[in-house]
Amino acid sequence: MSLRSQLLKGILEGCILSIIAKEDVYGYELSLKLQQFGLEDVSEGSIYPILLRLQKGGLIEGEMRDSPAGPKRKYYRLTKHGEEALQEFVREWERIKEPVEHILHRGNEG
Amino acid sequence: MNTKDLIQLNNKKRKQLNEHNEAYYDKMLVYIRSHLTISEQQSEELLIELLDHLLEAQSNGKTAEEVFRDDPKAYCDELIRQLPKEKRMSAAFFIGYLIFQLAGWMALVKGGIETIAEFFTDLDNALYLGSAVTIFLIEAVIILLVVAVFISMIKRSVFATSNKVKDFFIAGLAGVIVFACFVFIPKWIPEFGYRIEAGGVVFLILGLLILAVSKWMDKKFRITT
Repeated sequence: MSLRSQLLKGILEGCILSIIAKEDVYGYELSLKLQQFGLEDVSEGSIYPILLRLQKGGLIEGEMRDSPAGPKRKYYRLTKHGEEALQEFVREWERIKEPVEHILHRGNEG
Repeated sequence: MNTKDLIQLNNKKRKQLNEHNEAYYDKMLVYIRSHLTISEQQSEELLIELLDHLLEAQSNGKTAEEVFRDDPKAYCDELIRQLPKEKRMSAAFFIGYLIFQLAGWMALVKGGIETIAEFFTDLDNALYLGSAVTIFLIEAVIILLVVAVFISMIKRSVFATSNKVKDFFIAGLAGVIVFACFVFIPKWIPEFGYRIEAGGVVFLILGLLILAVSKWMDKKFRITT
């Protein structure tokens, strides 16, 4: 797997945890939210392998439930373990965000 | 929702896909279902989820390639890697159930044929229990092997442009081999074990009994639901 997709996957995982932490969502809803936040390059389908991995790791739980539109959908919610993972992701992101920005945007003087 | 409900729901919803998207989705469905070692419940839940997503995307004018990827096989392989394995117990129950079903139907067919044949000729009703059990086990293994080969053929051919002539030839060959085994194996196995007299009616009753037990097992342990 290329470095680019690995990086993207890790970040996407954190974003998905964060969205699910705010409210329970189903797959299509989740992909819309990611797009609304500007992650338009992410192919919609790529959320499903991540959702499966998060479920396997016990970070989120899925449940078939009636949706407002009518049909049953699988809604995801964060588990206790998932909340901890999200907090850790946020901590790590805060720690590397600025240094990375500095390095990338330092111009030509470095 | 159990697996059966999910499959029924999937069959109903799939009809809403347009031709192009249905062709794409059907391949994913067959490919994922042909992986028997992953949890059936989990894969059916995933399949419904992907279908719901595709339906919503379709109503917004998107194609399956835009939603998933241009490479459905790579995408499905990635999904399959993340799906949990089927529990050993339920896999064992399922194979046990298949063998029971097989035994039941084979006894019924044998019983039916012999019951009719007895009207016209005198049949030797001698049956050696040791031989009978051995023959059945060998035949059951052959049938399970053939099924396994067919499923792996499906797995390989879903995303490949399949060679119809070759597939037809292999299927025909498998049929001939299985038929030959069923004819010759009873002749090759020597007579041993306890000798009983069992005519067609005995096999009919035995077959019904075995099928009833397997039906009960299915209900009790929820094997196929």
